[in-house]
Parts: sequence; structure tokens; C-alpha cells
Amino acid sequence: MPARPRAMSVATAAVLRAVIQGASYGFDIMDATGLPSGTVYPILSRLEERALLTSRWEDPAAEREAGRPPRRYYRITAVGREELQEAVERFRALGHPLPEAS
Amino acid sequence: MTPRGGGSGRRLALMLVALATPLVPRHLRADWRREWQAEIRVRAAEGGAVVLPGAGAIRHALWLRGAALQRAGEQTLRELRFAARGLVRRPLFALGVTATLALGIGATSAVFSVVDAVLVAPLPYPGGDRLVEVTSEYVPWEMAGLPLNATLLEAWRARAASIEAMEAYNVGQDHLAGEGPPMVAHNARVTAGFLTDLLAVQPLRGRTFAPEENEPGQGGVAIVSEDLWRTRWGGDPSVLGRTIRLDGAPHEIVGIMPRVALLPEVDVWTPMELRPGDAAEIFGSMNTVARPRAGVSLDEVAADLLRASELAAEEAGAMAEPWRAGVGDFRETVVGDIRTDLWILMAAVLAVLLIACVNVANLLLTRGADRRHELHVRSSLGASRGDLLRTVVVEAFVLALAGGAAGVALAAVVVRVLLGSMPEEIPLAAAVAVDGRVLLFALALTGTTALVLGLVPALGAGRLSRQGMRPRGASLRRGERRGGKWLLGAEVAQASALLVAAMLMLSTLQRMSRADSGFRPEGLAFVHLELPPHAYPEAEARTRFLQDLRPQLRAVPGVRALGVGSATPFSGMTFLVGMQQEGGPRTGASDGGINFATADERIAFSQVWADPDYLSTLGLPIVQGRPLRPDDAEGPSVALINETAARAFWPGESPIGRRVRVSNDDPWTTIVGVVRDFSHPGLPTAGLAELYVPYTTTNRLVNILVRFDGSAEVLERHVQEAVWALDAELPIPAVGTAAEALRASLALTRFYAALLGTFAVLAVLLACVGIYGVMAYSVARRAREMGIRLALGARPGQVAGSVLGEGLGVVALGLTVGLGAAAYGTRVMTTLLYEVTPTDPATYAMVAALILASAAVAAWLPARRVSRTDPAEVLRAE
Repeated sequence: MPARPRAMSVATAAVLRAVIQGASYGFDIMDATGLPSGTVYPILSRLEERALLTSRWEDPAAEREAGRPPRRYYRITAVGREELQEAVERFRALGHPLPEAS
Repeated sequence: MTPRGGGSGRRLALMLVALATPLVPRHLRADWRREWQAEIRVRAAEGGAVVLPGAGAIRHALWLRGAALQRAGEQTLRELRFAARGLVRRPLFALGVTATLALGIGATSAVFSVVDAVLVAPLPYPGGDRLVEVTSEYVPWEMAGLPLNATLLEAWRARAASIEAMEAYNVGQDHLAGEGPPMVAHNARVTAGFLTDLLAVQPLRGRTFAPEENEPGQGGVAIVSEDLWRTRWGGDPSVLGRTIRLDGAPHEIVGIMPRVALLPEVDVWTPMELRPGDAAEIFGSMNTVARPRAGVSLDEVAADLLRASELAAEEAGAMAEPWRAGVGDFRETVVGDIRTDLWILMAAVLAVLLIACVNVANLLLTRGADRRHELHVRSSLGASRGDLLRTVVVEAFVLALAGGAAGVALAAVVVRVLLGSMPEEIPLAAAVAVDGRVLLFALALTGTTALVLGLVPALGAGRLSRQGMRPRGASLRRGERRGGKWLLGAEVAQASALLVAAMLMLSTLQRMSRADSGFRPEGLAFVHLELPPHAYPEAEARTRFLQDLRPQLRAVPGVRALGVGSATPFSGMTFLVGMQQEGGPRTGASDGGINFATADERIAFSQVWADPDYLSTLGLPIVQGRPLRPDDAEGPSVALINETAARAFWPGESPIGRRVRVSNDDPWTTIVGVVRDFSHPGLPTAGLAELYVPYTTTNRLVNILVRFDGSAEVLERHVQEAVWALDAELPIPAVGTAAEALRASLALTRFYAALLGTFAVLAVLLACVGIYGVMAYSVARRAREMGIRLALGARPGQVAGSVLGEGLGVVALGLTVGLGAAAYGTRVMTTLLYEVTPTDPATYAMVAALILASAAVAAWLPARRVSRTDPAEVLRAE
């Protein structure tokens, strides 16, 4: 089947939803989705490339106080929300609602 | 269990990240590592598992690399399409570049296909890269390089462990009759394995020979060549089973053989009759070829065969005793002296290719300058330096590919032309083809060209990023102008060197065609007759035939004189004998002061049996002593020698009355006269010491020289009628004329001269196009400067002159370098040249004049435009 730009895999949708629900760092997203890091990170890279996510670095000063290195922080964009919404509806229509996050 | 939070788990995870880092595309690398390290450190500090998640870093890195590659590929495809579209929009530029490259690549590939088939590729037979020629040395006489006899073949074959196959052939001329008019056919007598095993050729129809057919009396079969089958039998398949007569002996046709590249002239193949142990056959005539086992070196084979021959000398009886084996590279035997010649042609055509490349590079440079504006725009729109580089390099690749494809097509055509005009002296012609190897070569050429061409604009694009935006049409920067000029100089240098080589070859050809042969070739014809042994077994029969023929021929209208001999200067056959002078040493390579063709040629005299009219018909005067007389054949042994022989043996003395003999068993022969040398470079025996002895019909060779008036065709018809009136079964006698033979003897020289001449003309033309292009471009780009100079009062002639002078300065420099290179490089041509030295001043002067004149025209055309420039217009355009 030809891959249309909007056809989103379940794993990708799960990652997006995890970000909406507040998981904003790579390993947190991994925990929230239950997917291995080797799956989550390529998805993050691709979503960022397609501008469904953006990322920024935490303020190093703040983190130094917390005694840990600055982490990369992911946030969903408006386009990301829109596409996730479409994907969720499509999954539902197909009878495969997105599994609830753990 | 995954280690939790422990320092070792963290360290392992961080190590995995470090390991994967190089995989990540450079521009993402720093962030990527920072992110992964932070996540792992945080997780580890929280006491979470990190090794397994850390392993994901490798997958992530791989994914990023893959994505980058895919993007680059898509980008390149886009660039390809872009470049192709760009070129289509500039059809003249694209066509010019493609045609120039096609010319270079096509010509080079075509010449390579010949060089490859003849010199490089394995011979087109099993184990073709390791075939060796086996020869024998007759130890008592220290004569090496002799063909084998059947005893040696069998004895050595059985004892040489390093040899896989060892087979023999021998091509002679036989009288073919039956199933059509009589003719002289090239008959290759072969051992059965020669066709089936050594060459592994398959007959078109029928079969090859069985080993038992090599046994005495078991032959009687023949395979005809496809060519003969088509010409003589019109390709009739029912020819199998019919009978032809070869030298009178019936042979049943059992097969039809396609042309064999190694022996393309063969008309008929027959089994060689092997009589091992036959004492009558001491000196054999078997050209022997062996295929060593794979992986055995030539030296090992030589050592093994020598050992085998020594073993055979001990074990195999008296017949094998005085012999030792020698081994040589079979290709050398096949190729002979052609090697250097072909490499010279290859070098010449490579020079043409280089000039073509330089031209294209120049075009790309100027186009690069034109494109600067476009590239700047793209650069300001955010294209990286790499993007710009890719754009120009991809365009060069597209051009090179188009040129390469067109070049291969051209090569196919050129190879056809080459094969059509290639003299038969160049062996293995049948193996020449535009095959996979040639395609690979063309591909490599194209690739190299693309690389070089890509580099040129790449350097230009590199500069681009270091300089600011400039308006379109700005005048050329200094370095840019210099770059083009350097290339121009190189081009002129190569064209000059090539032109020198071609001119040397042309003047060689001219001198050869005008060479004084020592006799008058006009109105001289020669007839070669084969008197087959079955019909003329005894000397008496041959004498009778000649006695009857002579008056018949003399009666032919227009015939003024005729003489008979064993050979003519045109027959290419020579009978070389060693000579001992009375009271002197036996001559050899090291004495006698005679230049031998090869160091191994230890035998000094070319012996010709000549009747009393032979020399006068040929037109060679007696310079001392007396001619041969009819009664010399019966009287005491006398002979004439030529001037070369006289000078070599009795310098400063008269040879008249001196005595020589061929071997100790012969009677002494008295020299009674000295004959003028014949000295034509195209004649195979010219320059040899000659010994003319009285003709007798114990000699089977009948060559008739005829002085005649009128047309050669009429003479040929009369000769044939006269011969057939005596013997209708004799093959059609070939009548040749001396003028035609001399002309034909220059075929190889003419071929080289034509090729080198063509290459040189191409080179000069391309160089002129290059000069024109660079000058025209320079003039166009410097229009503003010219306009200002004109506006400031410079006369148009002055400005044009300065442009012209600038161009010709480069040309002069290139010319000087080129002539210097030629003086050095053409030394390899020495063996090809005749009466002209590689540093012939006249040739160099002529080349200099030609190059300067054509360069001046090429530079003047654009320079002329300057003087027509209207300064006001130019400045307005700014």
C-alpha cells in the first residue's frame, strides 16, 4: 500500500498522544507508550522533521540547580494535534481504537 | 536482569551512545549525543534501567543515517532532472559538449578495442592468458626456435607435467581441386586436439578430427572454412560427405569451420600426419602451442619442458637425443612487432581525448562564470555550498554520461571502419569487437571524464562561497582568465606533439612510396605458380612444363622479357642459409657486419635460385663481374652476390673469384659477379645479403618475372590461357604487378599514417575550437574594458591586437612545450619511420607554422569583433 503522508502508524499516534498527555522527554515518552527507545526516537525525529513536533533544550541554568543535565523537551504543534485527531478518528472508524496509554 | 541504576549499566549505555555517534549525520550529531546522554544520566540517577533503552541509540542513529542517505538520493535525482532540463534549454552548449566528448571517448574506445583484442585480453581460447609456444633447439648446431617434429611432440607431451594440452599446426598452400575450379588453398594441418581441445572451436556443421585421423594413412578428411564454403559452394549444406582433392589426394569434407581468429587465412583444415620415430623427419614443421595448467608460471613451464626434453633425450632414443625444448609467450608469436605500434596509436588517441576533455572543461568554466549569477541567487535563498557543488557536479556528470553513451555508439561505427581498413599484418582482427571489456573501458573513461569535469566547476563553486555577490556580466577575475589559458596551452601542446607524430608518419609514407627500389617497378609483373607434387613429382616434369611455358609466355603480346626464379622480391618468401667463406669463419649474428632482423637470426644469406634472365628482367644491373649464363646450371658451382653481401664479406676488395659454401658437405661455389641491391622498405628481403645461384627445377618453387607493355589485366588473361593450355588442372595463377605489390607493402604504414593523421587533424581542430571559444568568451566578457579603452581613444586595431597577442602568447608557449614533448616522445616511433628522424627539423618547422597559422585564425575571429565594438553602446549596456 502506498504510504500517504497522512497515514499514521499506531506507534506514531501513540507517541503523539503521549506528548499531548504530558510526556515531554524521550525516555518519558518511551515509558508512556511502552515502546522501546529504538522505536520511539526515530518516530520523534520524523515527527520533528514533519513539524508535527518541535523540540527545545531545557534552560541549562535551571537544570544545573536540579543537579542534572539539560534534556531535550518535545512539544506538539497545531499541525500535530490536527493530524493526531484525524488519525484517531480513522483508527476508530476502522474499529481499531487507539489503545489507552498505560 | 537489566542492571538498575548501577554505574556499570550507565557506563555501558553511554558507551553504546558513543559507539553510535559517528553514524549520525554530522549536522545532527552534537544535539543527538547531548539528548541521549542526558536521558541516560537522568534515568540512571532515578535508578531506572538504561542499558536496553541505551541500545535504542544505535537504532536511532542508523535510522537518521538512512533518512539522510535517502534525502541525498532524492536530492541527486532532482538535480539530475534539473541538470537535464537545464541542458535541454541550452541545446547548443549540451550538443557541443556531448559531441566533443563522444568524439574523444568513441575514438579512444575504438582504438582500445583493437589494442585490447591484440595485446591485452586473453587470447580467445581456453586458458588464453597462459598459452605458450613450444620450440626446439637442435643442440649440435645451437639452433633454437625451431618447429617440433612428431617424435618430440609425443616425447615431450608425455613427460611435461605442467602442460595440460600440447598441440601443433602448420599452414601451407595446397592445390585444391574438385567441386569447382582449381585453386591454391591455405591448408592448416593440425593435430586432432588443436581444434577440439586447444582452441576449443566448434564446427558450424559436421565434426572435427578424431585422434586416430592423425595416424599415417588414416587422414583423408577435411574441414572447410566457412568463408570457402560460402564462396565455393554458395553455403550449400550438402557439401558434407563430398570429396575434394588437396595436392591430388582425395579428402572427404566432414565439417565446416567458422573463421578462427588466430589463423584467419585458413581455407581448409586437415589432420596432420604424425610419424613419430620417422628418421626422415628430423627437422619438423610443427608449430606447437601448449596450454599450461592454471597457476603455472611461464618460467616454471619452461623449466618443466626443458627437464622433460632432457628426460626424453635419455629415455626416448636417438630421435629425441639432440633436442632441447624452449618456451615462449604464444601471444608474442602471434602479435610480433605490432605491439609498440598499437601503443603509439593508443597514446595518440588518448591525446585527442584529453584535448576534447580540456575543451569541455573550458566550456564548463565559461559556463560556470555565466552561472555565477544563478548560483548566487540560490545561495542567497539558502542553498548550502554543498547544494551548489552538487548542482554543478551533477551537470558535469550528465554531460559526461551523454558523451560516453554517444561515444560507445560512435566506437561501434569506428571499429567497423577500422576493421575494414586494417591491414592483415595486424593479427587477431577477428577477435576485435566492442565487447564487455570495451564497454567497461568506455565506462571507466566516462567516469574519469565526469570526475575531472566535475572538479572544474566544483573549484569554481568553491570560490563562490568566498566572495560576495557580483552583478551579472561582471568582468572576469584574473584567476579565471588564467585557468582557461592554462588549459588552452595544454591543448595546443598536445595537438602540436600529435601533429609532429602524424607528420613524421606521413613523410615516412611519402618517402616510402617514392623510395628507389633499385629496379623499375613499372611494367613489371610476377606470377607465382604452384606445381603440385602429385602432378609434377620429378624435376623432369617441372623442367618440361617450364620449357613449354616459356615460349608460350614470350609469345604473349606486350611481353618483352621473362625470367624464372625460386622467389621474387615481392613473394615474401626467402630461403636463409648460413655461409662459410673459404678461409674465413662461418657467418653468424655476431660477425659479418650484417644487420639481422633479430638477434636470433643467425643465418646470413637469402638464397635465390635464378635463371639467366631473372636479374635482367627484374632490372637489377650487374655492377661487377658477369651475369649467370645458361650453362652455369650444369658446370662448376657459381653464384652472384649483391652489394650488401660484397661489402659485408669482402669490404674494399673484389669478391670475384672468392669461394663460399653453405655447409661442409657442399662443394665450394665461386662468386662470378656482383648485383645491385634492391632496397625498397616495403620489400621483405630488402637489405639482406643475397646469393643468386643458377635455377634448376630440383626446386619446386616457380616464380616468373615478366616485363610487359600494356595492361596487367590483359597480361593476366594471357598468362592464364598459356598456363591452362598446358595444364587445365593448375590453380589460377596469381599475376601481380610490382607497382601494386610495392603499394600494398605500405599498407601498414598507410594505416598508421591515416590514423595518426586523422587524430592529429581532430586534435588541431579541437584545439582551434578551444582557442576560438576561450578568446570569444574573453572578448565578450571584457567588452566593458574594451569599450572603455576605445572610449579613451585606443584605436580598434590596438585593442584587437592586444587580445590577439594575449591569445597567441599562450599558443606559442603551448607549441614550445608540445614540440619539446614530441622531440622526446617520438623516439619510440623510430622503427616506424623511414628516412626521417624523429627530430626532423623540417617537420617541426612545418608543425609550428601550421599550429601558429590555425591558432591565429581561431584567435583572430573573435578579436576582430573588438574592432567592431561601439564603445558608446557597450558603456550604455552597463
